[in-house]
Amino acid sequence: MFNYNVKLALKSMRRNPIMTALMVAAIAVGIGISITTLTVYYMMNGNPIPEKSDVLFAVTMDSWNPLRPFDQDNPERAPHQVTYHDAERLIAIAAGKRQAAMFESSLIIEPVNQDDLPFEAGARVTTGDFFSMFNVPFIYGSGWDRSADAGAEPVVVLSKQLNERLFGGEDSVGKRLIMQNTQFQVIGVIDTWEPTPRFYDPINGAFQEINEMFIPYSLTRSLELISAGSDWGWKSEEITSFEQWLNSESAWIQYMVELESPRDRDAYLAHIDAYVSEQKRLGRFERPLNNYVYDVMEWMEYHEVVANDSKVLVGLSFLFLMVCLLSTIALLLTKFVGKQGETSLRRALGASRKIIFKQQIVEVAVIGFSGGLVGLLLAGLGLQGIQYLYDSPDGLVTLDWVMMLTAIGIAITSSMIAGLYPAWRVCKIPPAAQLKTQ
Amino acid sequence: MGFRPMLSSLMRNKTGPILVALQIAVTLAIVINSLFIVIQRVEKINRDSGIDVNNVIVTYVRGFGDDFDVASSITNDIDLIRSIPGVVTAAVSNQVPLSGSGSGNGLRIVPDETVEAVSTARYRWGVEGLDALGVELSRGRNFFAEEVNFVFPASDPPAPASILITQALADDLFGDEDALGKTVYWGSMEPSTIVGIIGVMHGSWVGWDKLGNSVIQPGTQADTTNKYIIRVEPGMRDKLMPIIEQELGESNRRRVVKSVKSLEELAARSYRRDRGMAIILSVVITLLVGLTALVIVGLSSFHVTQRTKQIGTRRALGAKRIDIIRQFMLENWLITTAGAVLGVVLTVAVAYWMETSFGLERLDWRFLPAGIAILWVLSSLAVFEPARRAASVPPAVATRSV
Amino acid sequence: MLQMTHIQKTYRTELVETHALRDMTVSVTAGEFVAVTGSSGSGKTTFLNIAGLLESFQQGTYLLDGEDVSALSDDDRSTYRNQKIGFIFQSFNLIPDLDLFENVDVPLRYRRLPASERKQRIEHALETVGLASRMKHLPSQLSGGQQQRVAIARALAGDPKILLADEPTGNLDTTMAYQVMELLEQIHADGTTIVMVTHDPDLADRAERNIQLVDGRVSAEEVTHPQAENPQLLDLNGSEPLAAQA
Repeated sequence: MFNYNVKLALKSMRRNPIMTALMVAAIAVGIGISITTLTVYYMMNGNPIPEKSDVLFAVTMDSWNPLRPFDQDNPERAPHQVTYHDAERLIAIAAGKRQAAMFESSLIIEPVNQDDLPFEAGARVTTGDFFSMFNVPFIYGSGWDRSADAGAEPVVVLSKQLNERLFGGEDSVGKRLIMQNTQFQVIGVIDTWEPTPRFYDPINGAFQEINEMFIPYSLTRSLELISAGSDWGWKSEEITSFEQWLNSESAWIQYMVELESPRDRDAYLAHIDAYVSEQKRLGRFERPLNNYVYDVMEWMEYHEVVANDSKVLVGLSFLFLMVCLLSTIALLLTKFVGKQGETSLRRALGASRKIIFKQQIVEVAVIGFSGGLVGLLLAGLGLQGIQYLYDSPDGLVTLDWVMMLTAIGIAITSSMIAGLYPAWRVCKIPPAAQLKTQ
Repeated sequence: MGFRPMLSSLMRNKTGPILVALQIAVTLAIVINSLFIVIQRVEKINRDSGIDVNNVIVTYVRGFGDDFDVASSITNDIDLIRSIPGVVTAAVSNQVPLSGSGSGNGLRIVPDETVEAVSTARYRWGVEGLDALGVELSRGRNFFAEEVNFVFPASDPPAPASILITQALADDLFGDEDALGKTVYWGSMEPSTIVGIIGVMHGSWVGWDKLGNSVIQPGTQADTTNKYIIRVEPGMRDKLMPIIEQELGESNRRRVVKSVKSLEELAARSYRRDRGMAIILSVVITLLVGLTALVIVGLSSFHVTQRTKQIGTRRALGAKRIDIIRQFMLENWLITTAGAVLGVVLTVAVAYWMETSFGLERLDWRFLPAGIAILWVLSSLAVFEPARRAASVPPAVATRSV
Repeated sequence: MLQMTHIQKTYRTELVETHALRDMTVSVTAGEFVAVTGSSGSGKTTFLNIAGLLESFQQGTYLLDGEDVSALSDDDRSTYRNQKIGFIFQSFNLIPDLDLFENVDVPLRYRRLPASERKQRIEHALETVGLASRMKHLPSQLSGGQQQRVAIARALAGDPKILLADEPTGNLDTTMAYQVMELLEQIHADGTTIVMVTHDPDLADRAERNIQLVDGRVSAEEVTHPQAENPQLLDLNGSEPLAAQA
């Protein structure tokens, strides 16, 4: 019976192709737009590291100006980066299970052969725990350990793309690079890793491309590495040397920690508070105690990673879907009114109300399904458009299976809801009522 | 065909008209609010930056190696660039306006730490800086050559004697008073005197509400990465970009030319989100309006077909063609007006929701009548063809037996 | 009142040419009640369409109320239909979304009469057909006979010079048909010219004169109820005037 209904549905759809095309188009456009905006929102709002997001924390300490808060609009907030001095101390204390002190920088890679030009590559300067903390996948080699951190060894981990550019993609572990007048040794190459959003550094762009290479944090002093990211300072200090810069109150280091379990959060915060209290005695941290740790999802929310515009678009596109549904109901009503003759004939020949109703719903579902398919195509186009317009990373604009099924689901469900009233109207037609001409 | 019988006829067959009216209402709400956002963004992008954006090229360079002499590298580079035909002038700057990257400071008019500082972007360039950006001084003077010295990264130079500020910053600092010649204090409480005022110049962050605030210190910034701002003759920009890149690259192999970009491209990147939103919403508006128009056409056509007998009868009873057209247009007008009335309510509701949930600006009420007018015109256009078709139904239809 | 001379009407499609009326000459004087009969395909509906200015014709002359209609524009034809002719259709042709009052009102609206005059005419017309009490009802709430009576009221409301009726009782049972015919006869008695197309010979008998059509032309004419005041009858096809029968 279902197959028969589907066949009837297709026949009926063919009979008035313009009407059918209009209905399918209405649903398709509604689905296309909604799914496009929903995908972007969903990806922005997603948990980039679900297996660990509740045990990874960003640390903030309020070392800011005693006279005014760091964020005038949100005065309870502390600066979201820490000073170099504080990072060094925290690393030494090593209160959590693992820790990552890091910042963005860039180095010039000097050419291997004389004919090549030197070029600049972006680097993430970080402590070695970074790789195990954030589950970074390797294709060759591995990261460095804490002893390499302590010894400030000139090692480097390359991204897949950088490895392609420098060494043609082969296993480059053991090979050497000259950067900043220093010979670095490659100890690992990571696989494509594009957490969306980039939870470990939302400050410099939650949807940037990944860093091209990773080098040990402890090289900062010896190589006089400069941050290419943001830095904030409130105190007017005399800075005439790199050493003075490192000791200043400028906050430019990002510090994240991994704990054993989410429950350890308060205990860890107590460690931080203890450290700050100790620093207060030395004359720093003149503001009242205001330290906080944020887990990954809280950190995303803190930085408002989901763009406001994205939320606006999701809202508008659901209104849009409503319009499409209204269109569909109106079109279905008119289409079904035109079917009165056939329907009363069928009723005269023995079809019950329920059968007629079911047939209409199947027809509506078929239209909905078609609309959903076309809508998915449109959504794909829409996402391509978004990627072009915003230069987004691939992860943000991919239609995964969940989204595709959701799209079809919404299409069929909403068109069936739209079709309820018209179907009910049709099955009310008495048998043979329209057979007499009037 | 009278108004009242038409109304009662519509009321007796309510569902179709109500659906169309609802659709018109929701469409109006979406279109008006989206159009408002689009126009806001377009206005934002088209603001006058005070800079000759189309004719400016920005080059990022970086030297490496222990013995790299930044100062002479910079001097050589600038001389080289200036010698290229078609280049008007070149300057070294610490940051690039409109690029999204910049430095900021707080300035005060009194050396008192407790007083709130006025936030501003801070630039540092030499005598050619203004010319390199095509920025005009409205009052006072530019820097003198003697005031411009090299500033190295690890140094901490004292506050300069002379600075330039934008009019917007002057307004923030001194209100209606004339800022020229006045003194301002840096975070270190050191003073500087304002020797020149720039009419309009946008800073680095286009999304910042203080985009117009900039202060310029005299100096040649000698960083690890250096930024050259180059102004060229109109029309020469695209030709000169690869030439500059090549000549710079070849002149010094210990100095990497990281990138050569047009300021237009950098600015476009900064405005990418706004432009993207404007385009997306424009597409949404077009699709929505198109869909609603098509539905009106489709439904009206259907009604014409459905009522063929009735139309023939009316013609037989004496209706002229124009009467039939008038009837359909009037019916459509009734539905559209009902939709517009409901739509106004919905529009205001959606605008309120946008304002409170997403922090958008309050809707400019003038968009409402504009939106209704557009809707009305579109709706009439949509129904015109079906109405015309209705009018051509021959009166002889009335006597047909089927 | 109505004078057609050698009217010819041909329908042309890509494949077929249909000669609906070949040589139609007929004359109806004011105040007459004339029936036009013929089997299907004889051209009665075409005759009615042309008589009612619903269609144009290729050859011949048609004078309605003394005026030559061939020169009329589409708008003029509409006006004439509105003011001079009253239509009664086989399938009533009432507008289902309008109540009885509004239905009778339709032709009056096209005449742009003031509201008070329209109201007066409608009420009078509905009273004449005996349905004034159901003014606010919808056609679907009425029987077939009642609907036809409303249609007659609609035709009358504009004070037409001539009533054209197309199978007025075709969709009615015997009782209702009887009522409608009674009504028509009464209207005729009040002085209105009526031309009635029908295939029912019994109905045709109730008219004064019966014009029989075959293959698009008049084949015979029968006087059933001669009029005392007007013995002049124009013959068709050029034959001698028929003598009035008892």
